[in-house]
Amino acid sequence: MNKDQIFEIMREKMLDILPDLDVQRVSREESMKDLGANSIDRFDIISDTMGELNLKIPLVKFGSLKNIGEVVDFLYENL
Amino acid sequence: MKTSSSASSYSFRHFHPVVVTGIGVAGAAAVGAATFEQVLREGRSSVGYLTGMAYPNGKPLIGAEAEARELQVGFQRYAPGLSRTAGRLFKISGKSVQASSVAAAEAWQQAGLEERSLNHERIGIIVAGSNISPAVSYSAYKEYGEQPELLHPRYALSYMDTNQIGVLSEMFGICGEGMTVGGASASGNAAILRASQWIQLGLVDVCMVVGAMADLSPLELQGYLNIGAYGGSGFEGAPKQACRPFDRRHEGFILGQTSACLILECASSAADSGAEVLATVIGGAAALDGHSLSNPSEDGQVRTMKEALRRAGLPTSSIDYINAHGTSTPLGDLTELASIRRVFGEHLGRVRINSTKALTGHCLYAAGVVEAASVIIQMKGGFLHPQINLEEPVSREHYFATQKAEAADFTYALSNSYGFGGINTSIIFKKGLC
Repeated sequence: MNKDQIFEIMREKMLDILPDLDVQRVSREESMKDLGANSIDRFDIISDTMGELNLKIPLVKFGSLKNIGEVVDFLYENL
Repeated sequence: MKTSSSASSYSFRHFHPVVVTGIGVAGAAAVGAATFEQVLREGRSSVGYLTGMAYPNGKPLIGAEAEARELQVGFQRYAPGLSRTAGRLFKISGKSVQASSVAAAEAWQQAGLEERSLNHERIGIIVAGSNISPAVSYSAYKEYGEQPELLHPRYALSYMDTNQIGVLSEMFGICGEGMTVGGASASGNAAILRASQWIQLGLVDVCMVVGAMADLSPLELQGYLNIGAYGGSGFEGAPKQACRPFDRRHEGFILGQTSACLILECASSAADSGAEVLATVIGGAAALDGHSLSNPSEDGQVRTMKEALRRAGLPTSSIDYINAHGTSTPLGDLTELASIRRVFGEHLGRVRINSTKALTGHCLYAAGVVEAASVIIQMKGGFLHPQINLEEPVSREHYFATQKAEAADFTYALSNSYGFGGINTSIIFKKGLC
């Protein structure tokens, strides 16, 4: 599993959770908050992505990550 | 201004009639009101076994369990008419919320609320039940036990009964008043009564009343076993015979997982819309016994049935049919029959009685709403559903339904629901419009 694949999984989860999301806007530099995900949505996106990656990381550890790219990198480091 | 006095002057006749324009059913008994009607006509029991639970002797616990897959299929039918977020809300919700949403969507569609241009601030929601989904907490506790930080943050929302209100309001865009109404096994009736009062007072024009499916954890079920209230241990290998209200071999209640929804509305709102009126809520009452235990009280039940009749402005002789609380619990069944005898006296011989729980199991919080659906479907369809498993009635005076469906023309029906803690409720429905 590489970072692009993790990004792709996250994007799928985002579309699932945010039906009005403009898929073109999803990039590593964008934050989920700016894409319209509230705090519960963000936890859901990360939880669902972790579920697919078979990872169990406490959600509080994602609190300081600034954008989608940082989340992808953090997940990748913990694979 | 009306003031209270020693005798209540509240009467349903002082207000615009409250009518039922939509019915939805979702769970073990049936997914869909039309299927439920077939189940009632054929006297088909939905009782089987509850996954992962056992009697003290290790044999699997009897009960009617809702299938998640069937709820999912049911939901797909209605999803296009709901909010854009409805699909996701359904997916992330527990089984009880899922059943509520399927039942609600069916009732909503039948009442034509999708097409009607109603002000959604004039629509309310009442969800019947409290401590609805302890199974949600029970499974979250496993995550917590592994590592507290792994507990999903959504748990802070989903453990609450009022999550049902939030989810339904978002799915249907409902913006009037909303609350849960708890009354143990009488929750369903208590919710219908409260919704009727909201409409009578003009607080809302339409109210969605959802009887929430109890999603119990092994703790609650073990509690029922330990208190001796749960039945079925003598029916190993024959689960469909385990729930037998008013039969000599009744042992205790059998859990049923079915949710139901009624759309109640002011008769004038229904008339404006052209929605078909299925029944009228013509009277009803609730009263306490003044004790905290599980045993029923004849006095409390008699008082409640009499007050329901008084509020409806009807003589006892007008009631054709009683959908009994009838849980298949020895003391409960005998107490209710004694109460009915006291209220109906000389008319006892002509009032038909059945208990839908023989087919559905005891749907706890949802029971009152499931049974209201059963009453209305029978009145409208002109039949009395069979009382399966009633082989040796505990009373020869009462005029019970038989083993086969019968044609019947009922105008007024009484539905009883009683809850632990001495909570008594009775509702009277009239076929069609008042």
